Amino acid sequence: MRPMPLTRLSFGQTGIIQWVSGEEDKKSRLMNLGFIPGERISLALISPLGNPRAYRILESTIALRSKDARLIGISIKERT
Amino acid sequence: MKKNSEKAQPVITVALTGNPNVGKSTLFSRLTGIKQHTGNWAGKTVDIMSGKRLHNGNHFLFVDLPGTYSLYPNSPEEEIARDFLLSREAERVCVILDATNIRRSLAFALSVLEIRPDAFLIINLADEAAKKGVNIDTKRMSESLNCPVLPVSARTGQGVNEMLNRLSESKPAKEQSFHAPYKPWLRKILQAVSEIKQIDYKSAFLYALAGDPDALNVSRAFGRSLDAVQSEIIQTFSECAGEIYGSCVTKKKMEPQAARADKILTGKYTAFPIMLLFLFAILYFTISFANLPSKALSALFSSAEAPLRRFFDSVFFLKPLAPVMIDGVYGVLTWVISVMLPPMAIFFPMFSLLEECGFLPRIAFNLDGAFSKCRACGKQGLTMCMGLGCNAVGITGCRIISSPRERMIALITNSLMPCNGRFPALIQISYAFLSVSTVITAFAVTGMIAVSILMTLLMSYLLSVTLLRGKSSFFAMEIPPLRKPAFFRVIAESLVNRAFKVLLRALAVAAPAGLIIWCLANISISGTPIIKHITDYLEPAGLFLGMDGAILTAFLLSLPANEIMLPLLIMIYLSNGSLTEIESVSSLKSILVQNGWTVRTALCSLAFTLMHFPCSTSLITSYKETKSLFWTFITFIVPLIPGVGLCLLIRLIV
Ligand SMILES: Nc1nc2c(ncn2[C@@H]2O[C@H](COP(=O)(O)OP(=O)(O)OP(=O)(O)O)[C@@H](O)[C@H]2O)c(=O)[nH]1
Ligand SMILES: [Mg+2]
Repeated sequence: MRPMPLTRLSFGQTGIIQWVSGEEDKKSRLMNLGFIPGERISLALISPLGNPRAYRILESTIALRSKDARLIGISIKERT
Repeated sequence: MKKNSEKAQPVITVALTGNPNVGKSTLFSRLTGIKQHTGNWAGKTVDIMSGKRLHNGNHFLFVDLPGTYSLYPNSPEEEIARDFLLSREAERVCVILDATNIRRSLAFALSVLEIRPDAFLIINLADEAAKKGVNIDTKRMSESLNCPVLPVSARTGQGVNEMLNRLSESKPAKEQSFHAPYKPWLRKILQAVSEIKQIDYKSAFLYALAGDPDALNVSRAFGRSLDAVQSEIIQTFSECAGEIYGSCVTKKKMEPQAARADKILTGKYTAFPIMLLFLFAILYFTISFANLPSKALSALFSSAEAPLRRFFDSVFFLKPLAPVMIDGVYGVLTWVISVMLPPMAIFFPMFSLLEECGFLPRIAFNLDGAFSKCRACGKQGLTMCMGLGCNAVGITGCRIISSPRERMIALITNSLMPCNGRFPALIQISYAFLSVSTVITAFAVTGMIAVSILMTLLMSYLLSVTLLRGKSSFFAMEIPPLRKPAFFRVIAESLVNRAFKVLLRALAVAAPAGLIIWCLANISISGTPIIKHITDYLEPAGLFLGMDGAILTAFLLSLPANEIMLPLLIMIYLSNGSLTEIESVSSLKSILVQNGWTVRTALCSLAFTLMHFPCSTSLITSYKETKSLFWTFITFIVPLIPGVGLCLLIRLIV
């Protein structure tokens, strides 16, 4: 399956992070928060205005705006 | 005595570091007995705090550092924390980890171990981990990392003694224990960096992470981009953490993806109504429960007045001081206590409980969409909540916002949120003029805070398109799990730490203010008291804003503390005519009405209480934070603009 931006992840799906991009220090910040290629990620919460959304990663919940979530590419893990 | 014993026994400095919200401050309080503020949200601590502990003849100095996600600083606080770790000032380093969320904190711990092989890993929240069925094999972890790994619970105190015992033991051997398993190509690059920089190979990765120019050149020479080097470093630590996690941590049951409570707290249709409901509930309880004790206190104080006066009269040298001390100082002081203490004693504990639950980050999460549209940061929602308690605290708290532009916006607009010191005036004026029921008053004040929130958004937007031009930047915020607070401890600490502190500050201002206002009212120049000259002078400006000269004078004189606005106003009114003393809210209304107050005056005064210049403590704090007179001036002026605007609008309509 082709990688897609994290913003396309919906409830109940599990994604695997494929790549993380971002200028300046954005990329390393995201990685320090646990957004690291190979990690599993899922959607936890959507804020009432639709943006930001909170994702479950490395056992914690982190809120990102869609602008920043687009810096992360994922592939959907097929459910077994 | 104390000094001597300290000289004999050197003090061992122990740094407490770790990811945000892992319980560093809670552990610090447990270790030192100093009550450090804690809260269930990332970024609670923004300052370094240190405290002593004597254990088995060893003198420890514990240092509570702000939480950081990495050794590569993304904010000034993270820089402070890192520099302290690197400096040899910290003789021992304890990395605190959250047992219920150990995976990520482990990666940070490993990067600390890389530069500080003597570090201790302290696995906190052991009590909660046990409840959640998380089992951590600390012995195995300690063996594979070759460093002490100790489970503790900062909340219950379990394991803390063992931790102190281990820290007391002779300094661990300095031999390298942990080696980051970098790939060969990365090792070569780091080796080259360390040679150029003439530093230890082990700390070369810090330079690469910080984007040092030499690191950039070396990476290029090896045919890699700096970006790739940085990612590889982070990934190395993370993968290594993953392996250790896999071998040492077992979980009985899977955690639920997101608790149902969270879905409701942040739900599309439920989030905002619930936030308003909570606000209303807090205000309702504050108003209704504070009423009785307030009355009791003020009755107590007024019954003490006669004996006090007799005492002053009986001592001949005190006799001339009786009016100024009793009508001036005693009057204002007791007003502030009886009106301020009960609501504060109810508001602050409730607020602390919500904070400990983890409600605040959810508010920020819900509001971020709006802040993003105003080109500001959602964490501003957190600083606004802090501002409800005290604006000076809110202003310092703005440090959690990493973008300097957005931090400045949050700082400047913080005083638009009414602090606890302004609640009594808001409540009493609304109660007297707008309604006679607690429910309606609570509604009214909730509405006023909603106005404050909207104005904060508006002013943030206006600042973003004028003085602080720019787009909203990166936003990432951890949402910690909802947690049941340690009920009684939180209440007790909140009373001592917050309510009492704020009250003392208000009293320190109230006493001299009472003195000054009495003098102004009783010393005459050309036949009229000075206060009359001032109020007459300000009368046109006051009338222009829908108020009067006396109200404006009271606002100006209460610059040092908002708490004293209403008592000062009443003293000014009382000094003009001869009126009976005030006992309750109904007599408050009669005093105000006799001085020409109408509903319009009340509304304008409410608007101005809600939004005017910040108190002097807030101004001093904002100068400390910005180190600029210009921005301090902007902080002064910004809340004034919507305040004046709203007053004029009310004058037009009502
Ligand atoms: N159950 C339980 N809760 C704890 C324990 N230690 C801390 N907490 C809670 O964890 C939350 C965070 O604690 P803090 O001490 O403020 O965390 P911190 O690491 O200082 O956070 P920052 O200052 O933001 O970096 C608070 O709600 C504490 O009550 C513990 O041992 N057990
Ligand atoms: Mg802290």
